[in-house]
Amino acid sequence: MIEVKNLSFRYEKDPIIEDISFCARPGEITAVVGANGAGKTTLLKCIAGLEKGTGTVNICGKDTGKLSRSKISKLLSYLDQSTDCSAELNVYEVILLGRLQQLSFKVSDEDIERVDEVMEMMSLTQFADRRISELSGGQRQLVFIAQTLIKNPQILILDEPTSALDLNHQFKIMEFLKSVTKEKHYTTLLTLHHLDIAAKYADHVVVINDRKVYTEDSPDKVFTEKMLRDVYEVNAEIYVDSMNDKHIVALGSV
Amino acid sequence: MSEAGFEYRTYTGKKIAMMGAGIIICLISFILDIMIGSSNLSLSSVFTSLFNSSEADSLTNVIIWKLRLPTAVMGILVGASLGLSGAAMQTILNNPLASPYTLGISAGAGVGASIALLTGLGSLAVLGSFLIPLSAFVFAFLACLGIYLISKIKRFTPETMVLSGIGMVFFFQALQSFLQYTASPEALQSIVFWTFGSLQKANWTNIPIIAVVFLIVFVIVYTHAWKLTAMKLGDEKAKALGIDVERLRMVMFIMISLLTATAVAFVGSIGFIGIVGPHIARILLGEDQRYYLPMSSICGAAILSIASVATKLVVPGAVFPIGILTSMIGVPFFFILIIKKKR
Repeated sequence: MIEVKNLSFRYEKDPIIEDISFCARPGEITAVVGANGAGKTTLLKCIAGLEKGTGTVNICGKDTGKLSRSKISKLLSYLDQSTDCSAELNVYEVILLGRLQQLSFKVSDEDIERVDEVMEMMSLTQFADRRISELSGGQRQLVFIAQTLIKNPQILILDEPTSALDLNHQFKIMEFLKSVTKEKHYTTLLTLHHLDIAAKYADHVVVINDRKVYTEDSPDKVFTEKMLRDVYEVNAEIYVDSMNDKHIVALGSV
Repeated sequence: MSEAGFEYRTYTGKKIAMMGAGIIICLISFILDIMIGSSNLSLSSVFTSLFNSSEADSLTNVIIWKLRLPTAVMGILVGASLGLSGAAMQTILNNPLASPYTLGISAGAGVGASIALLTGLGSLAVLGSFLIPLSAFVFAFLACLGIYLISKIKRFTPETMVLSGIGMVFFFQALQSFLQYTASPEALQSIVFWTFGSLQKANWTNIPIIAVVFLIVFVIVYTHAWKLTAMKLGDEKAKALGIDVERLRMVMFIMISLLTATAVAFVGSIGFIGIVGPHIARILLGEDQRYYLPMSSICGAAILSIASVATKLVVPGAVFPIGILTSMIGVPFFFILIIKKKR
């Protein structure tokens, strides 16, 4: 469980996020959406303890403001937006680093089993001995998602996990995250730009606009033509298909 | 264990085997370095003198223990130190072009040695041989201190460290030029020879100092091997894995500074090894720092030791500055590795 109360962050004198409060529950995907520059990434960094804001963030009942970076990293896995990586490490070695807090000099059989399991789950076995720098951006993104999953975190915080993926992989990875969140009772908090994907897979949506929470609720209630006009400044139509999934068709700028 | 897991274990085994091969190359070169010189010695006489000196003739003992062994040991130690410093520097700055020399540490040492030579401190009996390296060490450390203080303000970002290092290079090079401009022809000659770098300054007093500093720094750097590997993924990812990136970068920088300043103070500027040793290690073993750091040391030691042998073969009977030859031999070999490297 992630509980955010009155969280604000300033970069020098400029406010980036202001007075944000919401809850992300175990077994659910909570999606943070909003226009570019709304403060989504900063919000996730503050929650993950990578930036220090004011207000409180409780993770599994612990106030992260009172914990060191290494203790926070034991509670959660965080994936940043970047897929750049020029390291001369192979995919197996990169995924293994997700267990950094547990690794001793000699890699244990348990570590190996865990990497094998995650690679199998994410169909990455074929890339095991490939250098990470040789992979495409999308493939690297899958590897970094695998790295966040390897330590079996209670809390999963992912900043744009589908940004480098093609359409098919976007659906595949979201299906995977949905099932792993339910099955392992993870609290999954992520940012998404693709609103159709958010509408289809998120259990709860937090909309950030102008540094503050505009609204938060289930996707059914959040995605309205008014919200799209206010937050994204687009005219859009919303269709519900036979599977009861919402689809957003943007018609143009307001 | 899956096939991928098994392959990882095999890959690790191969890395250890390659490190073993590197150590054997170092040993062979080390023995050749002792054998070869103005009077060539046989393998058996070298072994007798090394392990049973009472049975070796006194001239051989003098040649080996007073002349050849100190320079051979110094070659290994300085090469290993520069290899390790370069590897750690390239990792913390995430820049394969970084080396202790690109940050002005060597330039600082040059100025320190030049001041000692110019002021006549280096010609003082007994004390002179200590004052030159001491002065070189102090100025090398001043260069590091300058980089440290500037970088601290900007929370040890790689960009600030590289830029302040480049600033230091130009500053100390200007000072060096000024000192050379004002020096007498005799002092100028000493300064120029010092900056070439030479293992001939090795003796049984300075060798233990470098050995102890190398061992301490190696242990401290090596205990952070996993964290340094994670830093290769970039600062954001390393922080997300729970690493205090700024602190780690600061600690590593202090260790590298200490090691480089010590090595350079005793032997002068021997460039290239701090860049190429780690490059060869990276090409051969990748950047898992548990293997990359020791392999960079092994490569550095091997290059300097082989260069030491080569200087004796190129100009028999004369003392040829090794700093010149390290680049001449190493660069073609380095180019071959770059061309042969798998994409």
